[in-house]
Amino acid sequence: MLRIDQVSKAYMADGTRARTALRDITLHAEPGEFICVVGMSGCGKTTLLRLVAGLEQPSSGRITLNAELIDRPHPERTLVFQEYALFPWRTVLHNVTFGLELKNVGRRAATRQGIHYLKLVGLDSFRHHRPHELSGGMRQRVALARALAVEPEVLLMDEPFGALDALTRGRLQQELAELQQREGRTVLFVTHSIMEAVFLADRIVVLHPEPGRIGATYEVDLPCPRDLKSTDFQGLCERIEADLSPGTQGASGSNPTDQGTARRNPCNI
Amino acid sequence: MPARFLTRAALPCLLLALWQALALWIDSPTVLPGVEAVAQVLAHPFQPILITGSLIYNLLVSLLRVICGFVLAAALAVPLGLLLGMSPRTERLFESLIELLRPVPPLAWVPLLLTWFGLAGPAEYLPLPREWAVLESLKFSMIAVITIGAFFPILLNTIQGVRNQPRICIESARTLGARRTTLLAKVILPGSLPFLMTGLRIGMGIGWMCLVAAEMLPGSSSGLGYLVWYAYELMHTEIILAGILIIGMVGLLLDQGFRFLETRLCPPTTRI
Ligand SMILES: Nc1ncnc2c1ncn2[C@@H]1O[C@H](COP(=O)(O)OP(=O)(O)OP(=O)(O)O)[C@@H](O)[C@H]1O
Ligand SMILES: [Mg+2]
Repeated sequence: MLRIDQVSKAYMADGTRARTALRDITLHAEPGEFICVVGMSGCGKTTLLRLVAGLEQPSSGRITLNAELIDRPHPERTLVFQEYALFPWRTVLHNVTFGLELKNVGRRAATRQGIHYLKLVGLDSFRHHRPHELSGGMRQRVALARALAVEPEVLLMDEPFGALDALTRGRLQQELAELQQREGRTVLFVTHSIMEAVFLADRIVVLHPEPGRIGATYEVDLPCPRDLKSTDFQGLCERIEADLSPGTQGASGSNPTDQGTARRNPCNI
Repeated sequence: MPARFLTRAALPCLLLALWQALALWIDSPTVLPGVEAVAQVLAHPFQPILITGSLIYNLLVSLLRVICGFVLAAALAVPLGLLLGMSPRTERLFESLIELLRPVPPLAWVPLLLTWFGLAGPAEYLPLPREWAVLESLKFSMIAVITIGAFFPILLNTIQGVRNQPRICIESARTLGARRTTLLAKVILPGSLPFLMTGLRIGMGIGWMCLVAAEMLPGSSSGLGYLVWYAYELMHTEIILAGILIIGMVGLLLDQGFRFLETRLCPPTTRI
């Protein structure tokens, strides 16, 4: 079980002044739970994933996976980055098998598993290509296959489908939903798209900006596979959208600690 | 292809024609020998020249020196560059020393090197058969000059290559399970290979230049630089020109060889 307890993260802006990116985040994910994090740009979604990945250390609070403190990256938690992050000197297949090589999986088995996950993202026929020969969306799918191939316990995804067209996006969402039902990994999925969140998630966490903090959370108990046209689906989308829009944000985010830190750090915006 | 070749060859051919015309006009082989006199020297590479041995012998001596010095430089500079590139703290430790030594022209070390090593060479410490006489000309001092000349370009390019790795590449490797050594072997090294190859190529070029110049200094008794210098002392201008041509061509070939390796090992498409 993944537990994020009272985690805050401050970045040092220009070396001296701290800037709070996340404050008092508490979030527990059951094994196999699919959690979507939605929020405006700059509200700390990427920071949250980087903390869970172990690429950053929290300024306060703790994150544990199965009661073990997370203090460094480990392939039990893989991250699909928001930006392009493939190894340009490796072929598509060898990008996907990278993590397996490090696990000392035999070459044959690694190739088999790599191809399996490439098939899953629909890029099996591109296995001998190099990343620069692929489109942005295809690269993102390779990155997804690479993160899946090591069979992580927690999969962290940072707006992985942002660059894709609606059709491919839909297909991948479908596949991810099915994969999730089959393999039951814990997924922390960041997205801008409320529809995407409602389609995929068991639970949706709304993150408010400045500093990043958790607003409302929504349990999504619509039956799977979800029907985008159903009134329940659309009703939930509208509720979350209202929660995210700047007007209501002050109301849900008005907790007294805000002002306290604002006084201590006038620049933390 | 033929058209491009013609474009490349046009200027050298024109220069040859001018040279020949000028030589005929001046009519003094000491000032400017004719093309045919130089060609004559180049056409008999195995013939002993003056008392310094044949063209090929001197070429071989110079090449062996440059290879030894270069390999030594690469063996020192690449690991150090990787270390300094990966650890900013270690780099700060070394930075001032590197910046102090880097501007010193490699040839400025020759007097010191001669003081230390004299005319000794590795051959004296190895039981070598007689036929390997070439190795006796290797000389520690010459090898050291090349090492110094090639060291800094290799070092700085390696550091640059490591620095130039996108942070995100390293981070994704770490989340996939790469630790220090695997990160170095599987991400940082292949990722910085284009820079590393450029460093090696430039280092080789500088090493070659340093060598030929060092061979002209006192204490040298073989190599292309020595041959050219000796020919000057005996006023054999055609040998000087032949030597310069060979030096240039070898430099060109070394450079082309590295460029070829560069495109084979890291085609532009694999770069970041
Ligand atoms: N390395 C860093 N150093 C300093 N500040 C940072 C750093 N990374 C992020 N921040 C700050 O933290 C805040 C949250 O950034 P983060 O990247 O987590 O946002 P995000 O929610 O992922 O935004 P987006 O949706 O645009 O990707 C921002 O205000 C940003 O300026
Ligand atoms: Mg982000």
